[in-house]
Amino acid sequence: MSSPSHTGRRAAAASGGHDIELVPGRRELDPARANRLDKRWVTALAVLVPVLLVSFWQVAATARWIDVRFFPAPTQILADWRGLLDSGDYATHLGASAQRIALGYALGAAAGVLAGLLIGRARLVRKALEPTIVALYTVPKLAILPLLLLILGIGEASKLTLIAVTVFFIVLINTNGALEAVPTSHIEAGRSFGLDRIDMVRHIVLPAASPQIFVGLRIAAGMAVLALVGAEFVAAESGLGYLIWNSWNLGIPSYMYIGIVTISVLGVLANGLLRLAQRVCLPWDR
Amino acid sequence: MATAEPQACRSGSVHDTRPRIAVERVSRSFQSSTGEVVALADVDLTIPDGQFCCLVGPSGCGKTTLLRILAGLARPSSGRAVVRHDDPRRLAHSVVFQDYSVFPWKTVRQNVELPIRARGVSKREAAAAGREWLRRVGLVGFEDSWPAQLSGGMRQRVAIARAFACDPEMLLMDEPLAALDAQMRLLLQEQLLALSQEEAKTVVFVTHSIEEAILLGDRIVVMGARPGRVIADIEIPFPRPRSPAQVRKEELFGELHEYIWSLVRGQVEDQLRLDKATS
Repeated sequence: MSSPSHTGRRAAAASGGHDIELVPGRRELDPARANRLDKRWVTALAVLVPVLLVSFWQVAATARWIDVRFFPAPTQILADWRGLLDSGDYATHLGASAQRIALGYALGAAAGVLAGLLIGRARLVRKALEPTIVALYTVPKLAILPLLLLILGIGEASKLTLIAVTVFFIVLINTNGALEAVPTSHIEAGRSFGLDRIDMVRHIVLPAASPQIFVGLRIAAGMAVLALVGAEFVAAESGLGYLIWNSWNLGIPSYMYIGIVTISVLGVLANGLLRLAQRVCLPWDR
Repeated sequence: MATAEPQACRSGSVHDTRPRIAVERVSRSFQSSTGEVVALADVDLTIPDGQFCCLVGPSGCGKTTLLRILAGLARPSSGRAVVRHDDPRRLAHSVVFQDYSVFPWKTVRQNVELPIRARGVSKREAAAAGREWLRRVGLVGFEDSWPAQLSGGMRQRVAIARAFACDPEMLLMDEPLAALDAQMRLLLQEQLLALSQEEAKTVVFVTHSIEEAILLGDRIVVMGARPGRVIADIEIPFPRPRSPAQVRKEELFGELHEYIWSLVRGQVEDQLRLDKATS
């Protein structure tokens, strides 16, 4: 017997060797301890893996196993980052990007949810607009950047609009889908209590749809970063996208890495923020 | 109503003798891929004010369809139904559904208060009414729980409290206890009986359970299927206030049960034969 002898019943001795013995394992005997160990391991692994990867990179660069013209050592990147920080350039780029994405995202998300609710509650309007919305949604938003530049000029407006439009369609389509998925039983319960149109949306449709709407908001955050970087590559004098693009012209690859890592941190932060918002806004949804 | 006493104590408004519900030749059919299904055919039904009326019948007899028409959630294909509405400040009716109608994003308290607040009642009054009704269904201490944290029986008690708390003129219940386990069901039957006797409201109660209908109702309308129609209309003679234990002991209880089951049984057997013939 492989499991500790005190853990469970032994199969009847008289029967043959194929009996299945059902005994509690380590997890069942002390679930609290098992969970604690699990948690510790998960945290340790989550930290350890990236640390190991970066250390390996450092060793490889120092030993010249890899070409440091393309893959500068992490310590080198860190030193260049400090330089950018001290000159104030880093703050400028980060601030420009953060402002663009925050404003553009807020505009697009608010408009998307609002339009989704309005369209979703009116069947005829929805049927009329659906094909058009799907067609517009499919257009890669970067493709309309030249048009936006033409209309709005090279200033902030064109970049904000690009991000907002990107976010708008994703949020709109997800909001619409969410409304369609609201259980009829909840709608009918609301109707039977005589709720008016506004109360209906406020108390029933919006909360019922909100988990799905949040999914759209999270997907849209990722796409917003994409639109931001795309716009800053070609039509900006500041921002993290500009920093990355320009470092190619300058021949300073470590700036690229600084830009890339900053953007990815920005993305992780945005995602975490949205998750937190979801948990605060929807405490009933687990 | 045969017995004298309940007549007096259960009538909501003394002066108005119009029935609470008048259903006249109501039919309802649905289009399905295989053709037209007649859920209700020429149903006539009059329910006086203050009556607890149970609709009993096999699946597909249209009892839920009839309730949904009374609730305004579906319309008749032909005929007309009139539901009395005395006071425009109150709801004409509120509905208790079988399950899944308690809003998961609202706490127990918020669920119960929503229909009260929707009528424009002040926050304070709504809170007081909500508290009172949660006490009456035995949910004290769970006011701030999410429905997801409650058992099925507790959730259904929230639904019942919510329906009563907004003080509608009539209650429509669509198999409110069907999703519960047997013991919880017995318990809630007792609670519902007590509540309906205290409140003296008209109740239309759809159920599969003949026993439940006899325990709770003043009257049982037995419905038949294909097409859905009324096949018997039976007055329950047990006086109020009554208790389940009392009623179960009556000799008449067994006889009534047997009689109604013989009616329903014929319907169910027909259905089996039909199913066999079509398959």
